Amino acid sequence: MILLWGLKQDETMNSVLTCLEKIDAQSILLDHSKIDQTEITYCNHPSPSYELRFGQKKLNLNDFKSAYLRPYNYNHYDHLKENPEAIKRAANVHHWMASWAESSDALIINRSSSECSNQSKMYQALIISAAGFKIPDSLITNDYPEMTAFKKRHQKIIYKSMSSVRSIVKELENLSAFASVDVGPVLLQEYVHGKNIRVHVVGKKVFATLIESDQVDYRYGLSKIFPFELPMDIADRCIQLTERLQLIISGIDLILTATGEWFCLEVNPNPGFSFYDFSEANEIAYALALLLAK
Amino acid sequence: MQLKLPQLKSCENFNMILILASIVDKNAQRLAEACNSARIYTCKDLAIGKLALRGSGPDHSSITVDEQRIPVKEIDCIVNLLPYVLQDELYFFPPEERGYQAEEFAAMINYFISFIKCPVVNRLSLISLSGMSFNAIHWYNLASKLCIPVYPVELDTHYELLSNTPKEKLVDIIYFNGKIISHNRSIGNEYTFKLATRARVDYLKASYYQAESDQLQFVRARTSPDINDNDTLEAIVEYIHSIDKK
Repeated sequence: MILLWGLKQDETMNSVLTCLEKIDAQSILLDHSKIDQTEITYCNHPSPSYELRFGQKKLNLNDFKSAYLRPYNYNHYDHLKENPEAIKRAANVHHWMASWAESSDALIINRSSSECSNQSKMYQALIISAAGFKIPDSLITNDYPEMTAFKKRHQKIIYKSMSSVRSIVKELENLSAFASVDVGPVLLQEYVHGKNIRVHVVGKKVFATLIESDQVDYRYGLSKIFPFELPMDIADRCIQLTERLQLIISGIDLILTATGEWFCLEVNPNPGFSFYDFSEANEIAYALALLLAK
Repeated sequence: MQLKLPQLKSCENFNMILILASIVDKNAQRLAEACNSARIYTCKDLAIGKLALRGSGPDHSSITVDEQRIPVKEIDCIVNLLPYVLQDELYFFPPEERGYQAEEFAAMINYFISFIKCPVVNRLSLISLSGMSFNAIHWYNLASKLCIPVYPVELDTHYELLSNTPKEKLVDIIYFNGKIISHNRSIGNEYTFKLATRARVDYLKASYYQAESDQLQFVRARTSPDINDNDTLEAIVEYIHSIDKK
């Protein structure tokens, strides 16, 4: 039995569920939006066990051979917002599930500990660099002269969050707002000109797409997506990077410059790949389904 | 009882020992006093003191400590006493910004203590500064995997604790930097050593219940150094001293 945990209306989750049905793999989707109706009892003796209750269903988490976990931020659910007790219980469900996933022998896509690197983009950049990709020149600072010198050096710079929260990339054209007020440290990066390539790694399989957009962050504007053939060595590097991050699936944002250099901007450890997968066979979802059903 | 602190004999080779601590951590001061060139560095210092942490590494990065700009490469050792960044640490931001900023500061500190080349006590691991990724259940599961007896507990997401953990007959055993620094119960020492090495932590305080059969049962673990504990304080000071000798 395969456990899917996420939103029913999420296209990525749905595409995996559809592929699992096509290959006759037994699975169950635990709707994350009903987290307030989800309960888990954990018992640590004689050996760790987890009883999951959802509506009329009672399941033992240790019975699952694989799981695809794509939980959402329960703080954003309208029906929980005014209910601190429900929020607390939802947090417990997240922690209990994470602890099961962490110690389970099942195939877990992906464990929360493996997703931790995304919570610090610059920490993740150290791993990306060790995997052989170039990373944009970056600076964390709250010092105005440092900011202006960085801007002068690179001309076009962007700022983005250091963590995975409010992860929207914006161009920083005018620094004057930083001159007169004390601000907390911010992350600045050189803008790397080139082609946006989004790579999804699923186990040892690699899927690449080229994105054309006039936006700094193509996710927040109009964009066109095309299939892209990745050079073999870059595909291998993407697999190695995914393994270094202890991930099974990853979404890797690359830039190919006019001079042929490969930059890696960041790695999404739980990508919404349906946005990029326009193949008739849903090949990314299919590859993931095959892994889960193996 | 007044603790006799093991003062460092010679600190002339040290440029800077940095103690990353919470603004409310009174015990950090004890460590700073025991290492006379140590400076306490909080989230407030990170926010207000000018800094430049470069993606290219620590060589051209700098931070401000006690109003003095110092190159990061001049830091000789960092002792991380900050288990996670709470919103309350960031009281100088507007209330609606504190949640976001807490994530940002945790991300920045993770980078800072990962890219620095000097020895770091309590360096980034899966459990430090990532908050809840290693909760009580993780420890029970890890103990079970290592065949360490656990105190029987039942927990529920709706009612939380279904059975109480003991408050008496608890034995604390502390691991630091590859060895057990407190207590001499051999089997507990072995359990604690196994837990710490498998979790890949520099410091671990494991608590066990002493059952009627004299068997030790694992109850809980703490990974942020407890400076209030004299053995821990002495061990950290000795460790820093050993860096000085090298």
